This record gives sequence, C-alpha cells and structure tokens, in this order.
Amino acid sequence: MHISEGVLSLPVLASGGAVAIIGLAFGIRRLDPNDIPKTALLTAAFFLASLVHVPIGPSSVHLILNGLLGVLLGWAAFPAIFTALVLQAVLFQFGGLTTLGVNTVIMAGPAIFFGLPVRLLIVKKAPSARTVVLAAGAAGAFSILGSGLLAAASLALSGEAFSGVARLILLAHLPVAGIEAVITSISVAALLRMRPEMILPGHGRMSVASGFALIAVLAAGDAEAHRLNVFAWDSGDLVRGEVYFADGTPVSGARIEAACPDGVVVFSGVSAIKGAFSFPAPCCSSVRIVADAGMGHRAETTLELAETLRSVPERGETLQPSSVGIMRIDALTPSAVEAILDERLEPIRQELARLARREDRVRLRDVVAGLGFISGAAGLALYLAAKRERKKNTPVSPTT
Amino acid sequence: MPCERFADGSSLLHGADPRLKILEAAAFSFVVVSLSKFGPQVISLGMAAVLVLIARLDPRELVRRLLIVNVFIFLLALILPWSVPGQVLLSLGPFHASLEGAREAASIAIKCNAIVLANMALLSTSTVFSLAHALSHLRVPPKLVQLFFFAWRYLHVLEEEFETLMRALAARGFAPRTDLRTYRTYANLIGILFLRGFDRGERVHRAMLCRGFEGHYWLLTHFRSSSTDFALAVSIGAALAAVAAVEWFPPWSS
Repeated sequence: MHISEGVLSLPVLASGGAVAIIGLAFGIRRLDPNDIPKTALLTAAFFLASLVHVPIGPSSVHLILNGLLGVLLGWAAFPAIFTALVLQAVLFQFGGLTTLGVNTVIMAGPAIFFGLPVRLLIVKKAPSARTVVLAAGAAGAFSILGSGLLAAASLALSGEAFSGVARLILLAHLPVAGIEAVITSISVAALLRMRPEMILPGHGRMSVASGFALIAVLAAGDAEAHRLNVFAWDSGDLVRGEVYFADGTPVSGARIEAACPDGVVVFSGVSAIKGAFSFPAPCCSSVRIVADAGMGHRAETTLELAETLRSVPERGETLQPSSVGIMRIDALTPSAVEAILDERLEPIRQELARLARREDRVRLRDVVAGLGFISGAAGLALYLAAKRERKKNTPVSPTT
Repeated sequence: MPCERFADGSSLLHGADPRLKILEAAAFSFVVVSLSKFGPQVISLGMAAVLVLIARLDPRELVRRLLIVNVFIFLLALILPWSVPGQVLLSLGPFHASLEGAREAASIAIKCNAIVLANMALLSTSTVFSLAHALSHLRVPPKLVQLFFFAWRYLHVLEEEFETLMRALAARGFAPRTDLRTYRTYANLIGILFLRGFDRGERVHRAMLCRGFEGHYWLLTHFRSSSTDFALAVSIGAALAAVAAVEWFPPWSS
C-alpha cells in the first residue's frame, strides 16, 4: 500500500524517515557486496510481481509479496524494498520523496519482522518441507497484515480526519493477506523443489550471530541460541564456574570479573580451556560474576555464598577444613550426609529450575508457527468448503 | 510497463544537471508537504505547472499518470468530508458532509498533484541511469546505488522472461479465476520469476568477477553544473522561499 504525497503529517513523515534510515543502514551493512547482483535481481522480480493482478471475486488485487522477499533476503529485504519503491516513484510517481521513508517502513518492517524469524528457522533448524511452507505462508500473511496496520497507523496518527480511511485500508488488507499467504507458501514450496539453495543457503554465508543487537528484539527466540551463559557454584574454599553459549559450547578466554555486593572486585581474569574458571571464595554474602566474551556477548550471575560451610578462621566455631573428613567421619550418619549433599546440590537444583523456566517460556517462533498453523488450517478448510460449493453449483464444463 | 517516457527531450530541464534536479525535487517536495494554507499551496501547484511547461512533457502521458495517482486522492475526497466534523455542507440522512473535510481533501489533492508534477518535470526528465550516477555523486552509499543500478538494469531482462511465462500460460488457455488453481499457477509463476532472477544475478556476478569487478564502480565522468543549472536552482530556491514566507508570514493577515 502506497500512501501518496501530501497526506501524512510532518511528524509521521519524519519518524518514518528516521526509522527507514536506521533500517537501511543496518540492511546495507549486512549486505555482502557479492550478493548485490542477486539481491538486485530479486528486487526486480519483486517489482514485477507487484504488476501481477490476482482475481478475487469480482475484483482483483495486485500482489505485494513483501513477506516472500523477507524470507528470501532477510535483512537485505530492507534496501531491496527501498530500491523498488524508489523505482516506482521515479517511473510511475507512485509515492514520492517525502513518503519514501514511511512507505519503506510500512512494507519492509513487517517483511523483516516476520520473514527473518522464518528465514532463521529454516537456516538454523532445517525443518521439514511442510513446516517451511506453513511458516512461509504465515510470514506472507502477517507481513501484509503488518503493512496494513502500519499504513493505517500512519494515517490515523496524521489526523483525526483519517481514522475512517485508516479503517478501510486495514479492511482492504485482509483478503490480500489471505492471498499472499497462499501465494507465498506455494512459491516457497516450488523454490524448495526447484532450487533449495535459494532458501537454504550454504553455511557461513549468513553470519547470523554477528550484529544481533537489533534483531534480538525481533527474534528473541533464536537470539537465545547464541546467548552467553555463566554458571558458578560454591565449592568450599573456591568459587568455580563455567562460561558457555546457550547451545552448550564452552567459551575459553572470556573475561571474568567478580565483585562483592559492596562493589569491591575480588577477582578478575579469563576463563581457561573448556570455559572453566575458579577463584578463592571472598568473605562476603554473595558475589556477582560478569563474563564478557566480546562482541556484546555478556552474561552475569550472582552466587549466594554459604558462609557456614567455609573455613573462616576468625570465627573458629565451625569445623577446621582439614579435620572434617578424618575426625568426624564416624560421626556422619546417613541423614547428615544427606543434609550436606542437599546443601551442595542446592545451586545445581536452582540452575536446573532456572533452565526449566526458560524452556517453558513461549518463544516468538512458536507464536509465529502457531499462528501460521491456524491460518493455514483455516485456509485449507475454506478452500475445501469452496470447492465443494463450486462442484455443487456448476456443472462440469466439457473441456475435451 | 511504462518507463522512461519523459526522459527523451531537449528542454532546459532535460539538459540540466541531475544532481541539482534531485536536490531541487527533494526541496520542493518537503516544502510543499509542510504547507497548510490554501494560498501557498495553489502557488506551489502553479510553480509545478510552470516546471512541467518548461520540460515540455508529452501531455497524454502526463494526464495518464496523473489519473493513476489521483485514484487514491479521489477515494480520500469521497471519504474525508463525511468523517471530518464541521460546518455542514450537505446532508444525506444521518450523515453530514463538512466544509472542513472538503477543504482538507482539496488541500491534499493540490499538494499531491503539485509534488507529482514537479517530480515528473525534474526527475523523470533524466534517465534512471543518470539518476543513479547522480546519486553516487551525492554520496549515497555505494551499495545502495549499485542495488538500484542493477535492479533497473535487469528489470527489463526479467520482464521479458515474465512476459514469456505469461504468454506460455495464455497459450495453454489459462484464464485467471478466484480459485486455488489460479493461485497455485500464479504462485508457481512467481516462484519461477524469483528463481530466474536468482540465477541471472548469480551469472551476472560471475561474469563481473571475470572482468575484474572489485565491488565498486569507478566514476569516470563527472557532472558539470553550468550557469543555467545554477540559475535554475537559484530560481527554484527563491520561489520556494517565497512560498514558505507566504505560509508563515502571510502578507494579508496583519
């Protein structure tokens, strides 16, 4: 949907322009110079696809396919859609210079928001063809709905007078979303059959992990895969710990810094091989450990120190460490062993609980996939109903 | 596909420096968008009309494009009077059309047409390639300019492929209807179109590597602004300043 020149208010135009510049800067930075011809040709295909008019009932709509472009190009969809809009402005005077920013955000924003998670899902998880098709269909539908929502919002924000028009525009996008879902999913299925590498690019091409700062907001689900974790436990005299990425890869050479609650830094060093680190337990109630693996990968954890277990000579009243095993070994009843084990296992138990909590959280990906499944199922049901209806009403035409 | 229909010509604007024309079109658009009073808006429409006259554009093509652009404006003009409260102009049962709504619609129509006319006179009188060239001189990021350049360069190549596909469909008696079969056919068509684009892009890239492409274009020719270009820029700038002055310091209001 293009919004013409002279309609939107200045604040809307300015904020659209600002967001578009940020998106463009980000999209261009991530665009490999070697991919420019390919991206440009897909831009041209996207431009041409918008000239295809698909009949719907007595009327027809032209395809937009911003979701498909988002799935195929990822972040590069932003400069690609911008380019297509510039071409349209120069060639047909659809939209102009002042609305370029807003229109780019309206079309490219949802394309990336919904296309990128699907793309990441495909690249990282290599799901079955059916999942790919369903997810692509969902990306197609939701990109259009998102575009309609943004177009309506920018009109409504420009003045009270436009709220009626905004509502109409939103309504007009609903059938388009249905058609785009069907077209996007079937095209993706066709591409997957004909040229899978177009959708499943070789590894290393997409350095998904780098530059996750912006996308983390959009695709929290997959950002999780490269989140840095630090896990520490109290083992008597030493605090030991490990640094690892959320997928389990240990990180050696990460900078570790530990501080007491009062801010005194008690340890500073790097993690050794297998991401392990250790330092003497400080004399405070808890210690905050910050691990930094560079490139914005940071993690921190706070470890409660159990003071009663530690040998603190000044206090004296607890056991001397060297004598625990020897002198009291005979005094250890099974229940005492259990108590000690419980105490020692407590942090592990807590960490397990934390992991379980994280696993339980519904991720964006799941939401998208779920919505996609619903829309796909609804579409299928409608199609079958329509087909039965048609069979009932129209006699089979003699085609042969 | 209607393309650079206005780019051929020998008018003053056809020969003008595209860098300055881009800047002038941008300045014109932003000033006109910010106008809220009727008088300045009409003056800006007059300015745009003068530019179109100077550019000597083909009137039939001009009208055709204006009609397309005005479809959306027409829809707005149909809706706005009924959705803006104000002095009643016309009543149909429970609905009232307001004078303010009609004014709002008229203001949008004038501003939009002024900008579209000015863009046609200033931007469409250059070829897309020279605009891309000018953009790279205006320090637009080179990757973006290349994307624009390649997209335009291969748009027609891909369009031919697309027409071939459409002809093949027509030859097989395909008639679009509202059913899944049509949608599936179109979806496969789109899939093939994107596939051809992808393959062609890959081939273009390899061919360019063969020829020693290192990721950037050397700009061998540079635009030179003549005194006519500067005169044009100064007069457009002065006219815009005058319009802005009338908007913010109305001479008749004191």
